[in-house]
Amino acid sequence: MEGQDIYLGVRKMSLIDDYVDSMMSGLGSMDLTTLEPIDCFDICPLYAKEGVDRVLRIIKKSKFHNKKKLAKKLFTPSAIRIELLLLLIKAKIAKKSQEDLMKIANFYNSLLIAWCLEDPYAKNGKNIIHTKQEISKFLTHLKIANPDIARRLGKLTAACYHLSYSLYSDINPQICYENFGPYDVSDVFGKGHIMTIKQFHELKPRRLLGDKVNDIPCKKIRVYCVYKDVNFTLDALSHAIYDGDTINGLKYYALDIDGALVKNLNKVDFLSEKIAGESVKLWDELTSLDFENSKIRYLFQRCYNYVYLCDEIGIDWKPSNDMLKAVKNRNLVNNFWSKFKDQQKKLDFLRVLIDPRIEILPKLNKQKQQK
Amino acid sequence: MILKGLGVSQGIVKGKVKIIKSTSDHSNFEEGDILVTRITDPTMVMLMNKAAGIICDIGGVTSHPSIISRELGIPCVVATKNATQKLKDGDIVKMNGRSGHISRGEKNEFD
Repeated sequence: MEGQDIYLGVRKMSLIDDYVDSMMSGLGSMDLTTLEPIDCFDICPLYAKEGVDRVLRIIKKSKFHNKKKLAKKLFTPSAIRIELLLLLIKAKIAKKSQEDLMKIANFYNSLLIAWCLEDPYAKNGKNIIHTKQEISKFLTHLKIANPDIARRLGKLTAACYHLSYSLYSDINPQICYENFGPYDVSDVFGKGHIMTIKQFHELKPRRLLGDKVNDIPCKKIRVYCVYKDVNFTLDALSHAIYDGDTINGLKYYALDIDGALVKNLNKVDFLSEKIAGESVKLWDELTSLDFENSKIRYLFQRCYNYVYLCDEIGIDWKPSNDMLKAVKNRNLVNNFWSKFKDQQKKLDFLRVLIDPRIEILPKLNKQKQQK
Repeated sequence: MILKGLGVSQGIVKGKVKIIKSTSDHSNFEEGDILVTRITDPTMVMLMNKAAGIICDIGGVTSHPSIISRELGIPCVVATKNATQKLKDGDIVKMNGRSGHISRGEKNEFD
Protein backbone atom coordinates (compact mmCIF):
# COMPACT_ATOMS: atom_id res chain seq x y z
CA MET A 1 0.00 0.00 0.00
CA GLU A 2 1.14 3.53 -0.56
CA GLY A 3 3.49 4.61 2.17
CA GLN A 4 4.02 1.01 3.31
CA ASP A 5 7.75 1.27 2.74
CA ILE A 6 8.04 3.86 5.49
CA TYR A 7 6.93 1.33 8.03
CA LEU A 8 9.78 -0.90 6.96
CA GLY A 9 12.24 1.91 7.68
CA VAL A 10 13.36 2.11 4.09
CA ARG A 11 15.08 5.36 3.16
CA LYS A 12 12.93 6.03 0.17
CA MET A 13 9.70 7.64 1.25
CA SER A 14 7.06 7.30 -1.41
CA LEU A 15 5.29 10.54 -0.50
CA ILE A 16 8.37 12.64 0.10
CA ASP A 17 8.09 14.49 -3.19
CA ASP A 18 4.44 15.24 -2.40
CA TYR A 19 5.51 16.68 0.94
CA VAL A 20 8.21 18.88 -0.60
CA ASP A 21 6.04 20.04 -3.50
CA SER A 22 3.09 20.81 -1.29
CA MET A 23 5.06 22.68 1.35
CA MET A 24 6.85 24.66 -1.36
CA SER A 25 3.53 25.65 -2.87
CA GLY A 26 2.21 26.76 0.51
CA LEU A 27 5.35 28.60 1.59
CA GLY A 28 5.78 30.16 -1.84
CA SER A 29 2.45 31.96 -1.45
CA MET A 30 3.35 33.39 1.91
CA ASP A 31 5.08 36.63 2.73
CA LEU A 32 7.60 35.08 5.12
CA THR A 33 8.64 38.48 6.46
CA THR A 34 5.34 38.97 8.28
CA LEU A 35 5.45 36.22 10.91
CA GLU A 36 5.00 37.70 14.36
CA PRO A 37 5.51 38.44 17.16
CA ILE A 38 8.48 36.04 17.14
CA ASP A 39 9.49 34.86 13.67
CA CYS A 40 9.66 31.07 13.86
CA PHE A 41 12.49 30.92 11.32
CA ASP A 42 14.55 33.48 13.24
CA ILE A 43 14.23 31.62 16.55
CA CYS A 44 14.61 28.09 15.11
CA PRO A 45 18.40 28.08 15.07
CA LEU A 46 18.69 29.05 18.74
CA TYR A 47 17.18 25.84 20.05
CA ALA A 48 17.53 23.61 16.99
CA LYS A 49 19.47 20.80 18.68
CA GLU A 50 17.46 20.85 21.90
CA GLY A 51 14.14 21.00 20.07
CA VAL A 52 14.99 18.11 17.80
CA ASP A 53 16.44 15.99 20.62
CA ARG A 54 13.19 16.40 22.51
CA VAL A 55 11.13 15.26 19.53
CA LEU A 56 13.42 12.30 18.87
CA ARG A 57 12.69 11.20 22.46
CA ILE A 58 8.96 11.60 21.76
CA ILE A 59 9.27 9.55 18.57
CA LYS A 60 11.12 6.81 20.43
CA LYS A 61 8.47 6.65 23.16
CA SER A 62 5.68 6.61 20.56
CA LYS A 63 7.00 3.60 18.70
CA PHE A 64 4.33 1.10 19.66
CA HIS A 65 1.37 3.49 19.90
CA ASN A 66 -1.45 3.55 17.37
CA LYS A 67 -0.51 6.11 14.72
CA LYS A 68 -4.00 7.41 14.05
CA LYS A 69 -4.61 7.92 17.74
CA LEU A 70 -1.32 9.80 18.05
CA ALA A 71 -2.06 11.89 14.96
CA LYS A 72 -5.32 13.12 16.47
CA LYS A 73 -3.44 14.14 19.60
CA LEU A 74 -1.49 16.63 17.45
CA PHE A 75 -4.71 18.52 16.75
CA THR A 76 -4.84 18.77 12.96
CA PRO A 77 -3.19 17.41 9.82
CA SER A 78 -1.91 20.92 9.07
CA ALA A 79 -0.29 21.15 12.51
CA ILE A 80 1.48 17.85 11.76
CA ARG A 81 2.70 19.13 8.38
CA ILE A 82 4.03 22.35 9.87
CA GLU A 83 5.70 20.51 12.71
CA LEU A 84 7.43 18.26 10.19
CA LEU A 85 8.59 21.28 8.21
CA LEU A 86 10.04 23.15 11.20
CA LEU A 87 11.60 20.03 12.67
CA LEU A 88 13.44 19.17 9.48
CA ILE A 89 14.76 22.73 9.27
CA LYS A 90 15.91 22.54 12.89
CA ALA A 91 17.42 19.10 12.33
CA LYS A 92 19.55 20.39 9.46
CA ILE A 93 20.64 23.41 11.43
CA ALA A 94 21.57 21.06 14.27
CA LYS A 95 23.56 18.93 11.82
CA LYS A 96 21.58 15.81 12.60
CA SER A 97 22.41 12.66 10.66
CA GLN A 98 20.55 11.43 7.62
CA GLU A 99 19.20 8.65 9.82
CA ASP A 100 17.63 11.16 12.22
CA LEU A 101 16.21 13.23 9.35
CA MET A 102 14.48 10.18 7.95
CA LYS A 103 13.34 9.06 11.41
CA ILE A 104 11.56 12.41 11.82
CA ALA A 105 10.15 12.37 8.30
CA ASN A 106 8.94 8.79 8.60
CA PHE A 107 7.22 9.41 11.93
CA TYR A 108 5.16 12.41 10.82
CA ASN A 109 4.48 10.83 7.47
CA SER A 110 3.07 7.77 9.24
CA LEU A 111 0.74 10.00 11.27
CA LEU A 112 -0.60 11.75 8.17
CA ILE A 113 -1.03 8.49 6.27
CA ALA A 114 -2.95 7.04 9.20
CA TRP A 115 -5.30 10.02 9.53
CA CYS A 116 -5.90 11.54 6.10
CA LEU A 117 -8.16 9.57 3.79
CA GLU A 118 -6.49 11.10 0.76
CA ASP A 119 -3.96 13.78 -0.15
CA PRO A 120 -2.02 13.65 3.15
CA TYR A 121 0.12 16.67 2.21
CA ALA A 122 -2.71 18.65 0.62
CA LYS A 123 -0.77 18.63 -2.61
CA ASN A 124 -4.03 18.60 -4.56
CA GLY A 125 -5.58 21.27 -2.38
CA LYS A 126 -7.59 18.92 -0.19
CA ASN A 127 -7.74 18.10 3.49
CA ILE A 128 -9.92 15.02 3.84
CA ILE A 129 -10.35 13.07 7.06
CA HIS A 130 -14.11 12.43 7.10
CA THR A 131 -15.74 9.37 5.59
CA LYS A 132 -18.81 9.49 3.36
CA GLN A 133 -20.89 8.23 6.28
CA GLU A 134 -19.67 11.05 8.52
CA ILE A 135 -20.41 13.62 5.83
CA SER A 136 -23.90 12.20 5.37
CA LYS A 137 -24.50 12.64 9.08
CA PHE A 138 -23.30 16.28 8.95
CA LEU A 139 -25.69 16.99 6.08
CA THR A 140 -28.67 16.18 8.30
CA HIS A 141 -27.79 19.18 10.51
CA LEU A 142 -27.82 21.76 7.73
CA LYS A 143 -30.07 24.81 7.49
CA ILE A 144 -30.69 27.12 4.56
CA ALA A 145 -28.25 30.04 4.37
CA ASN A 146 -28.52 33.53 2.93
CA PRO A 147 -26.06 36.42 2.44
CA ASP A 148 -26.78 37.89 5.88
CA ILE A 149 -26.02 34.55 7.54
CA ALA A 150 -22.90 34.18 5.41
CA ARG A 151 -21.61 37.55 6.61
CA ARG A 152 -22.36 36.78 10.25
CA LEU A 153 -20.63 33.41 10.04
CA GLY A 154 -17.75 35.13 8.26
CA LYS A 155 -17.33 37.53 11.18
CA LEU A 156 -17.39 34.63 13.63
CA THR A 157 -14.76 32.78 11.62
CA ALA A 158 -12.63 35.91 11.34
CA ALA A 159 -12.84 36.45 15.10
CA CYS A 160 -11.74 32.85 15.70
CA TYR A 161 -8.80 33.23 13.33
CA HIS A 162 -7.73 36.32 15.25
CA LEU A 163 -8.01 34.49 18.54
CA SER A 164 -5.87 31.65 17.21
CA TYR A 165 -3.05 34.10 16.43
CA SER A 166 -3.32 35.66 19.87
CA LEU A 167 -3.26 32.29 21.62
CA TYR A 168 -0.57 30.59 19.58
CA SER A 169 1.28 33.19 17.40
CA ASP A 170 1.94 32.90 13.70
CA ILE A 171 2.71 29.61 12.05
CA ASN A 172 1.30 27.92 15.17
CA PRO A 173 -2.38 28.77 14.81
CA GLN A 174 -2.95 25.45 13.06
CA ILE A 175 -2.97 24.07 16.59
CA CYS A 176 -6.23 25.96 16.87
CA TYR A 177 -7.86 25.94 13.44
CA GLU A 178 -8.26 23.66 10.50
CA ASN A 179 -10.17 23.68 7.25
CA PHE A 180 -11.45 20.36 5.97
CA GLY A 181 -12.64 19.62 2.48
CA PRO A 182 -13.68 20.13 -0.12
CA TYR A 183 -16.19 17.32 0.13
CA ASP A 184 -18.23 16.73 -2.99
CA VAL A 185 -21.93 16.89 -2.11
CA SER A 186 -23.24 17.31 -5.64
CA ASP A 187 -25.03 13.97 -5.40
CA VAL A 188 -27.23 15.50 -2.68
CA PHE A 189 -27.54 19.17 -3.69
CA GLY A 190 -26.81 19.17 -7.39
CA LYS A 191 -23.88 20.02 -9.61
CA GLY A 192 -21.34 22.51 -8.31
CA HIS A 193 -22.00 22.04 -4.58
CA ILE A 194 -19.17 21.39 -2.17
CA MET A 195 -18.95 21.20 1.60
CA THR A 196 -16.20 22.62 3.75
CA ILE A 197 -15.78 22.38 7.49
CA LYS A 198 -14.07 25.18 9.39
CA GLN A 199 -12.98 23.97 12.79
CA PHE A 200 -11.64 25.98 15.70
CA HIS A 201 -10.66 24.02 18.76
CA GLU A 202 -8.47 24.37 21.84
CA LEU A 203 -9.79 27.92 22.16
CA LYS A 204 -9.36 27.84 25.95
CA PRO A 205 -5.87 26.42 26.52
CA ARG A 206 -5.77 26.66 30.26
CA ARG A 207 -2.63 24.58 30.53
CA LEU A 208 -0.86 27.08 28.29
CA LEU A 209 -2.24 30.39 29.54
CA GLY A 210 -3.95 29.70 32.86
CA ASP A 211 -6.54 32.26 33.95
CA LYS A 212 -5.91 34.47 30.91
CA VAL A 213 -8.43 32.31 29.04
CA ASN A 214 -11.22 32.64 31.61
CA ASP A 215 -13.28 35.06 29.52
CA ILE A 216 -13.11 33.12 26.25
CA PRO A 217 -16.73 32.01 25.79
CA CYS A 218 -16.22 28.55 24.26
CA LYS A 219 -13.68 25.81 23.56
CA LYS A 220 -14.60 24.54 20.13
CA ILE A 221 -16.50 25.82 17.12
CA ARG A 222 -17.34 24.04 13.90
CA VAL A 223 -18.89 25.74 10.90
CA TYR A 224 -20.24 23.49 8.17
CA CYS A 225 -20.68 25.26 4.84
CA VAL A 226 -22.19 24.09 1.58
CA TYR A 227 -21.28 26.38 -1.30
CA LYS A 228 -22.49 26.50 -4.85
CA ASP A 229 -20.14 27.56 -7.65
CA VAL A 230 -17.33 28.36 -5.25
CA ASN A 231 -13.99 26.71 -5.73
CA PHE A 232 -12.21 25.83 -2.49
CA THR A 233 -8.63 24.71 -2.10
CA LEU A 234 -6.21 24.82 0.73
CA ASP A 235 -2.50 24.48 1.06
CA ALA A 236 -0.45 22.28 3.36
CA LEU A 237 -0.62 24.94 6.10
CA SER A 238 -4.45 25.12 6.08
CA HIS A 239 -4.63 28.44 4.25
CA ALA A 240 -8.07 28.35 2.66
CA ILE A 241 -8.45 29.89 -0.76
CA TYR A 242 -11.93 30.51 -2.09
CA ASP A 243 -12.53 31.46 -5.69
CA GLY A 244 -16.08 32.62 -6.12
CA ASP A 245 -18.73 34.51 -4.23
CA THR A 246 -18.72 33.08 -0.70
CA ILE A 247 -21.51 35.38 0.47
CA ASN A 248 -24.15 34.64 -2.15
CA GLY A 249 -22.67 31.22 -2.82
CA LEU A 250 -23.25 29.90 0.72
CA LYS A 251 -26.40 27.81 0.36
CA TYR A 252 -26.52 25.72 3.56
CA TYR A 253 -24.79 25.85 6.90
CA ALA A 254 -24.64 24.40 10.37
CA LEU A 255 -22.92 25.76 13.44
CA ASP A 256 -21.71 23.62 16.31
CA ILE A 257 -20.42 25.23 19.49
CA ASP A 258 -18.89 22.98 22.12
CA GLY A 259 -20.73 19.97 20.69
CA ALA A 260 -24.18 21.58 20.50
CA LEU A 261 -25.84 22.72 17.28
CA VAL A 262 -26.83 26.37 17.35
CA LYS A 263 -30.45 27.08 16.50
CA ASN A 264 -30.54 30.80 17.20
CA LEU A 265 -28.03 32.87 15.25
CA ASN A 266 -28.34 35.80 17.66
CA LYS A 267 -25.81 33.90 19.73
CA VAL A 268 -23.37 34.17 16.82
CA ASP A 269 -23.21 37.95 16.94
CA PHE A 270 -22.51 37.91 20.67
CA LEU A 271 -19.81 35.25 20.22
CA SER A 272 -18.13 37.10 17.36
CA GLU A 273 -17.86 40.25 19.43
CA LYS A 274 -16.74 38.49 22.56
CA ILE A 275 -14.12 36.36 20.80
CA ALA A 276 -12.86 39.36 18.83
CA GLY A 277 -12.54 41.34 22.06
CA GLU A 278 -10.64 38.53 23.77
CA SER A 279 -8.33 38.17 20.74
CA VAL A 280 -7.35 41.84 20.99
CA LYS A 281 -6.81 41.60 24.75
CA LEU A 282 -4.64 38.50 24.41
CA TRP A 283 -2.71 39.89 21.45
CA ASP A 284 -1.94 43.04 23.42
CA GLU A 285 -0.75 40.86 26.30
CA LEU A 286 1.38 38.72 23.99
CA THR A 287 3.01 41.68 22.26
CA SER A 288 3.64 43.52 25.51
CA LEU A 289 5.97 40.80 26.76
CA ASP A 290 9.62 41.75 26.90
CA PHE A 291 12.04 39.99 24.61
CA GLU A 292 13.09 37.22 27.00
CA ASN A 293 9.52 36.42 27.96
CA SER A 294 8.45 36.54 24.30
CA LYS A 295 10.91 33.80 23.48
CA ILE A 296 9.75 31.70 26.43
CA ARG A 297 6.11 32.16 25.47
CA TYR A 298 6.96 31.15 21.89
CA LEU A 299 8.55 27.91 23.07
CA PHE A 300 5.53 27.10 25.21
CA GLN A 301 3.22 27.80 22.26
CA ARG A 302 5.24 25.51 19.99
CA CYS A 303 5.42 22.76 22.57
CA TYR A 304 1.68 23.00 23.18
CA ASN A 305 1.40 21.12 19.88
CA TYR A 306 2.34 18.04 21.91
CA VAL A 307 0.29 18.53 25.06
CA TYR A 308 -2.07 15.61 24.51
CA LEU A 309 0.41 13.37 22.72
CA CYS A 310 2.80 13.77 25.65
CA ASP A 311 -0.03 12.91 28.03
CA GLU A 312 -0.58 9.74 25.97
CA ILE A 313 3.03 8.61 26.09
CA GLY A 314 3.68 9.81 29.61
CA ILE A 315 6.15 12.69 29.31
CA ASP A 316 6.01 16.40 30.12
CA TRP A 317 4.74 18.56 27.22
CA LYS A 318 6.43 21.74 28.36
CA PRO A 319 9.72 22.95 26.83
CA SER A 320 12.71 21.21 28.37
CA ASN A 321 15.18 23.13 30.53
CA ASP A 322 17.70 22.67 27.73
CA MET A 323 15.38 24.40 25.28
CA LEU A 324 14.73 27.31 27.63
CA LYS A 325 18.43 27.67 28.36
CA ALA A 326 19.23 27.57 24.64
CA VAL A 327 17.18 30.71 23.88
CA LYS A 328 17.98 32.67 27.05
CA ASN A 329 19.90 35.93 26.59
CA ARG A 330 20.42 35.25 22.90
CA ASN A 331 19.39 37.38 19.96
CA LEU A 332 17.33 36.02 17.12
CA VAL A 333 19.02 35.18 13.85
CA ASN A 334 18.87 37.94 11.26
CA ASN A 335 15.70 37.71 9.16
CA PHE A 336 16.05 34.22 7.74
CA TRP A 337 14.87 35.14 4.28
CA SER A 338 16.01 38.70 3.87
CA LYS A 339 19.33 37.77 2.28
CA PHE A 340 17.49 36.41 -0.73
CA LYS A 341 16.69 39.25 -3.12
CA ASP A 342 15.63 36.82 -5.82
CA GLN A 343 12.38 35.02 -5.02
CA GLN A 344 13.35 31.99 -7.11
CA LYS A 345 16.69 31.61 -5.32
CA LYS A 346 14.84 31.76 -2.02
CA LEU A 347 12.47 29.04 -3.10
CA ASP A 348 15.32 26.89 -4.45
CA PHE A 349 17.11 27.17 -1.11
CA LEU A 350 13.94 26.42 0.80
CA ARG A 351 13.29 23.35 -1.30
CA VAL A 352 16.67 21.90 -0.46
CA LEU A 353 16.29 22.91 3.19
CA ILE A 354 13.05 21.02 3.78
CA ASP A 355 13.92 17.83 1.90
CA PRO A 356 14.91 15.12 4.42
CA ARG A 357 16.84 13.20 1.76
CA ILE A 358 19.37 15.99 1.45
CA GLU A 359 21.84 16.78 4.18
CA ILE A 360 22.91 20.42 3.96
CA LEU A 361 24.41 22.80 6.44
CA PRO A 362 22.86 26.21 5.81
CA LYS A 363 24.97 29.26 6.57
CA LEU A 364 23.33 31.59 9.02
CA ASN A 365 23.41 35.35 8.95
CA LYS A 366 25.14 37.23 11.72
CA GLN A 367 22.79 37.62 14.67
CA LYS A 368 21.29 41.08 14.98
CA GLN A 369 20.27 43.12 17.96
CA GLN A 370 16.62 42.48 18.69
CA LYS A 371 14.14 45.04 20.04
CA MET B 1 -5.44 53.56 -11.81
CA ILE B 2 -3.37 54.90 -8.96
CA LEU B 3 -2.13 51.66 -7.46
CA LYS B 4 -1.79 48.04 -8.35
CA GLY B 5 -1.28 45.13 -6.01
CA LEU B 6 -2.14 41.47 -5.71
CA GLY B 7 -5.87 40.83 -5.71
CA VAL B 8 -6.53 38.17 -3.07
CA SER B 9 -10.25 38.39 -2.34
CA GLN B 10 -12.72 39.16 -5.09
CA GLY B 11 -15.22 41.95 -5.24
CA ILE B 12 -15.41 45.56 -6.40
CA VAL B 13 -16.16 48.29 -3.93
CA LYS B 14 -15.70 52.01 -3.56
CA GLY B 15 -15.35 53.83 -0.33
CA LYS B 16 -13.49 56.30 1.81
CA VAL B 17 -9.90 55.54 2.71
CA LYS B 18 -8.83 55.34 6.32
CA ILE B 19 -5.10 54.86 6.89
CA ILE B 20 -4.33 52.80 9.96
CA LYS B 21 -0.79 53.05 11.30
CA SER B 22 -1.37 52.43 14.98
CA THR B 23 -4.16 51.70 17.44
CA SER B 24 -4.65 55.44 17.95
CA ASP B 25 -6.12 55.56 14.43
CA HIS B 26 -8.78 52.96 15.22
CA SER B 27 -11.37 55.19 16.83
CA ASN B 28 -12.09 57.19 13.64
CA PHE B 29 -12.76 54.13 11.51
CA GLU B 30 -16.35 54.03 10.28
CA GLU B 31 -18.51 51.27 8.90
CA GLY B 32 -17.92 50.99 5.14
CA ASP B 33 -14.48 52.62 5.14
CA ILE B 34 -11.63 51.14 3.12
CA LEU B 35 -8.98 49.94 5.57
CA VAL B 36 -5.49 50.85 4.33
CA THR B 37 -2.50 49.70 6.32
CA ARG B 38 0.96 48.24 5.98
CA ILE B 39 -0.28 44.80 7.07
CA THR B 40 -3.20 43.88 9.28
CA ASP B 41 -2.75 42.36 12.70
CA PRO B 42 -5.11 40.87 15.31
CA THR B 43 -5.76 44.26 16.94
CA MET B 44 -7.60 45.28 13.76
CA VAL B 45 -10.27 42.60 14.05
CA MET B 46 -13.06 45.09 14.80
CA LEU B 47 -11.99 47.37 11.95
CA MET B 48 -11.87 44.50 9.51
CA ASN B 49 -15.40 43.52 10.48
CA LYS B 50 -16.58 47.05 9.58
CA ALA B 51 -14.44 47.55 6.46
CA ALA B 52 -15.86 47.49 2.95
CA GLY B 53 -12.43 46.54 1.62
CA ILE B 54 -8.80 46.13 2.69
CA ILE B 55 -5.62 47.42 1.03
CA CYS B 56 -2.14 46.57 2.34
CA ASP B 57 1.42 47.55 1.44
CA ILE B 58 2.77 44.03 1.86
CA GLY B 59 1.45 40.48 2.13
CA GLY B 60 0.68 37.49 -0.04
CA VAL B 61 -2.26 35.37 -1.05
CA THR B 62 -2.21 33.52 2.28
CA SER B 63 -1.31 36.39 4.59
CA HIS B 64 -3.52 37.51 7.46
CA PRO B 65 -5.56 40.14 5.53
CA SER B 66 -6.07 37.74 2.63
CA ILE B 67 -7.41 34.91 4.78
CA ILE B 68 -9.66 37.18 6.82
CA SER B 69 -11.05 39.14 3.87
CA ARG B 70 -12.02 35.93 2.08
CA GLU B 71 -13.85 34.77 5.21
CA LEU B 72 -15.62 38.12 5.47
CA GLY B 73 -16.40 38.13 1.75
CA ILE B 74 -14.89 41.57 1.15
CA PRO B 75 -12.35 42.62 -1.50
CA CYS B 76 -8.70 42.79 -0.55
CA VAL B 77 -5.56 43.91 -2.37
CA VAL B 78 -2.13 43.28 -0.85
CA ALA B 79 1.47 43.92 -1.89
CA THR B 80 0.76 47.39 -3.24
CA LYS B 81 4.16 48.48 -1.84
CA ASN B 82 3.10 51.99 -0.83
CA ALA B 83 -0.66 52.32 -0.46
CA THR B 84 -0.18 53.92 2.97
CA GLN B 85 1.92 56.68 1.36
CA LYS B 86 0.09 57.20 -1.91
CA LEU B 87 -3.39 57.33 -0.39
CA LYS B 88 -4.65 59.79 2.20
CA ASP B 89 -7.43 59.72 4.76
CA GLY B 90 -10.70 60.66 3.11
CA ASP B 91 -9.69 59.71 -0.46
CA ILE B 92 -12.48 58.01 -2.33
CA VAL B 93 -11.18 54.93 -4.13
CA LYS B 94 -12.57 52.09 -6.10
CA MET B 95 -10.83 48.77 -5.57
CA ASN B 96 -11.02 45.50 -7.45
CA GLY B 97 -10.10 42.55 -5.27
CA ARG B 98 -9.59 40.24 -8.23
CA SER B 99 -7.44 42.35 -10.55
CA GLY B 100 -5.66 44.22 -7.75
CA HIS B 101 -6.43 47.62 -9.31
CA ILE B 102 -7.13 50.66 -7.20
CA SER B 103 -8.41 53.83 -8.81
CA ARG B 104 -9.85 57.14 -7.69
CA GLY B 105 -13.59 57.23 -7.55
CA GLU B 106 -16.23 59.71 -6.51
CA LYS B 107 -18.59 58.37 -3.85
CA ASN B 108 -21.64 58.90 -6.04
CA GLU B 109 -20.08 57.41 -9.16
CA PHE B 110 -22.18 54.54 -10.49
CA ASP B 111 -24.77 55.10 -7.73
